[in-house]
Amino acid sequence: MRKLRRNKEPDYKLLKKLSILKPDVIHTPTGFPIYLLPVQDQEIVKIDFVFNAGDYYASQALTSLSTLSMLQEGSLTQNGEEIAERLDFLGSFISCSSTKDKAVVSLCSLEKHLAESVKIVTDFILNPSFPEENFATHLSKRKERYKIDIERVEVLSQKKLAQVLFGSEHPYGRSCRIEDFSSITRNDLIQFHADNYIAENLKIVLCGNLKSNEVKNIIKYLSTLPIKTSNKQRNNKDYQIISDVEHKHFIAKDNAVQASINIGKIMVNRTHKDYVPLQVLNTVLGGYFGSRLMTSVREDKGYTYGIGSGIISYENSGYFIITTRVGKDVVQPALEAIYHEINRLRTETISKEELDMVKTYMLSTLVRNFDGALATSEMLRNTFDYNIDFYKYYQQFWSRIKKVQAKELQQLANDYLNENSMYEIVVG
Amino acid sequence: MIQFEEFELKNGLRFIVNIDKTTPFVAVNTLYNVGSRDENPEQTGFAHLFEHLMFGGSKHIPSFDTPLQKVGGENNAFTTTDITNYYITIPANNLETAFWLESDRMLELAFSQKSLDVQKSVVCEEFKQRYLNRPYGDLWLLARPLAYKAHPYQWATIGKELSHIENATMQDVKSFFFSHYAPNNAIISISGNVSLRTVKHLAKKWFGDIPRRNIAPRNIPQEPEQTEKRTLTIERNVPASCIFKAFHMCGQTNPDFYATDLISDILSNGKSARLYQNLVEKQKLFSEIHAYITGEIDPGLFIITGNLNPSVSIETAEKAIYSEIQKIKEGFVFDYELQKVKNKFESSTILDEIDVLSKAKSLAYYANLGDVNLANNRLKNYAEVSLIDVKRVSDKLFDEKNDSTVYYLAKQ
Repeated sequence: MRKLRRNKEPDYKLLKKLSILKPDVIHTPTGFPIYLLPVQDQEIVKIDFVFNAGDYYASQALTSLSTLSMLQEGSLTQNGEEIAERLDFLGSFISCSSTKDKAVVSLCSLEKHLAESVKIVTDFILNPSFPEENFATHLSKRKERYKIDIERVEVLSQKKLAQVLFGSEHPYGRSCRIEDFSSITRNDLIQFHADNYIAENLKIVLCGNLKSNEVKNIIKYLSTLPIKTSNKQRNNKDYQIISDVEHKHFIAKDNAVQASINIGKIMVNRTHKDYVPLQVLNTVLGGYFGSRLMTSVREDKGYTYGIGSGIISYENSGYFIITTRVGKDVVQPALEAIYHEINRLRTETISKEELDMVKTYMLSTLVRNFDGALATSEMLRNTFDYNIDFYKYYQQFWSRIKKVQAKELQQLANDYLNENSMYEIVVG
Repeated sequence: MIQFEEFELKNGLRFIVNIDKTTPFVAVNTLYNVGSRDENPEQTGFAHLFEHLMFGGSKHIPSFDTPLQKVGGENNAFTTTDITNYYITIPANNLETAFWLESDRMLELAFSQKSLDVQKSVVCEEFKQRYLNRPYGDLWLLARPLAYKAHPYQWATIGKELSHIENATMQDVKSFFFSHYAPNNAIISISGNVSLRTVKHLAKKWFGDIPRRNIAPRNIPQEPEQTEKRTLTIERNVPASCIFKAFHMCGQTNPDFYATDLISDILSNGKSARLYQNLVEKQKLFSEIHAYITGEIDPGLFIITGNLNPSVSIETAEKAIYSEIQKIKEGFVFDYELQKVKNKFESSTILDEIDVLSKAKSLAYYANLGDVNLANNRLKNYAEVSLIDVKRVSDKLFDEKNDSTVYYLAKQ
């Protein structure tokens, strides 16, 4: 046997193509689409009910999330305890999640309990009763959670950044305040539900074994779901982004042992032609474990347990963010190190070796994100905010990453990542 | 159901392989049979610090992450009181890169002083971030030494205090490595789109020549039975008071483990569970309340912890918890209710088995526990738990003498 050469890496192959499960789409008579993704060899079914009913469409911060979380607290035919009891007995999981733009109810169920679970869930989505008593309990729970959250430096700095970037009147900049808990009423939820949980705002994604009879029956059932339509034109406010004049903000928190740093600015969203190359630039800077920020601020200097950056894409805007927590005594050197890395992107061209690695990382992450129906369904949902063709979009995403040049990234860094355009929040 | 094959190299390194052709990836999970329970009481936090050092370069490879990222791999690790677990997911074609990297750091680390200095500082920031700089973050740091007087579970994986980490020397690091990191103290599990033949070939090639090492004999003091209720009252700057109860329970290999786990589910798994329905929704005493088990290998803890609503006294809160556990002790549990938590366990287990990484983790974990078949058989073990078991186990578990409680009060 030849002697093993441990200092030489083994041969490897790069992923050559992205294969994407293409969902079948049913256009229901009521007008909402159902996307179907096939699951192999598993008796698990997952159904997402995705509504354009995020915070963006509400007039105050708590309304969207409260409406969503209160759905399962009771319908016209069952109270909250009965709903919880039955779904738990069936071993079905409900999760409600919301973004600034969307409100999503997800059901995960074994095939054998699918029919009953779906009926319970669609019942409370369509006909919620928003019982007064449960609502009071819900608010008091959330208020307690809120009081704990705002003790955390990272929560405070995140809220502050959104506010200085978008302005406190903009739904992307607004966040919940303690007085909101006393001003919101049950009627706000009833109204918000009536206006937003309608057929025009709904998309359904189903992952399951499409050949099984249980699943086929449920697809039929969902296709004729008696959900209301609205003939009202949606009242889409045209919110103005009003960024703060002051770029640097410091909030003192005396008992903190670490300070939270957030640096960011308004950025293009997923629909912009620069979005994919900007994602590559972001990955170089702070988007993966081997990123420049991790290498400098954590692995070289030991200032933090973690640091990262990202581009948050909303339906109507987006922003760029760098986030970390560091020892209170090293805030200044940490800030310097961060700005040094931002500026380096503008003054130096990224080496071929580094860029190749980042591309490989991003391409394989993309393949990972499409590994199986459940993963694919999340990627599909990501595109719902924008009027884009899912399959084409991600195939182009893939080839655009491959095409990115170092020179182009340097130009983008100069266009988008000027230090003077950044906002800086320090809480600690 | 996870199908698997096993083999062992001459140096004692075990491999467990699950073939899954539905994915282009493979997960490689390397478990070392060392956790914070193996630490010296004067040098706590070491197993976890060591986990960080495993990424600081090995004998022939200066960086662990860079070559892995270059071929599309991702990795991470965690340390518990019982084990240190490293995992990689990688495009299945590049399995060999994972073997190359993982074998070199099993062979020997680079032992770089710079890496040690930086990681000590990173871990200290992790300590602050997770345990000191968040409301209720130090609860576990307080509760462990209250519940354990002899067993090393009395300190958290992060360590007793920052100074233990700050004082770690290169000599300590080397001796820890050679007494715990060895092929005969590790298990590698693999799940993904590979063939058994390839895995066997690569295993022999990359791990075959790593020598067996003398593993420090495990000599862990067992915890004596608790004879009276223990309490600790502290005040902190938090928005709401919290009560945290820990009851000693059986170890993971004890047949009563399953019943104990299901008792925690009856109390707290899902919105219909008793503690939530009765104490949050109906009596409105808590804003949140949870029951769970630590699930450690040696006898662990059954935890009940909740945040009190404003104006509820800690005595009222504690009485309400006692009244809920008293009902279970008296056998006030329905067949239907037991069936419910079994159903929930079944569906969450099936859901877990979609993912190659969770399959690989599970195989290695149960192999280390002593029976890899438990990865599949535990479903049956849970299904066999009876109401009689629930009553018998809870009677012993929820004894006041077995109770250690932290009253974590909000400063007025």
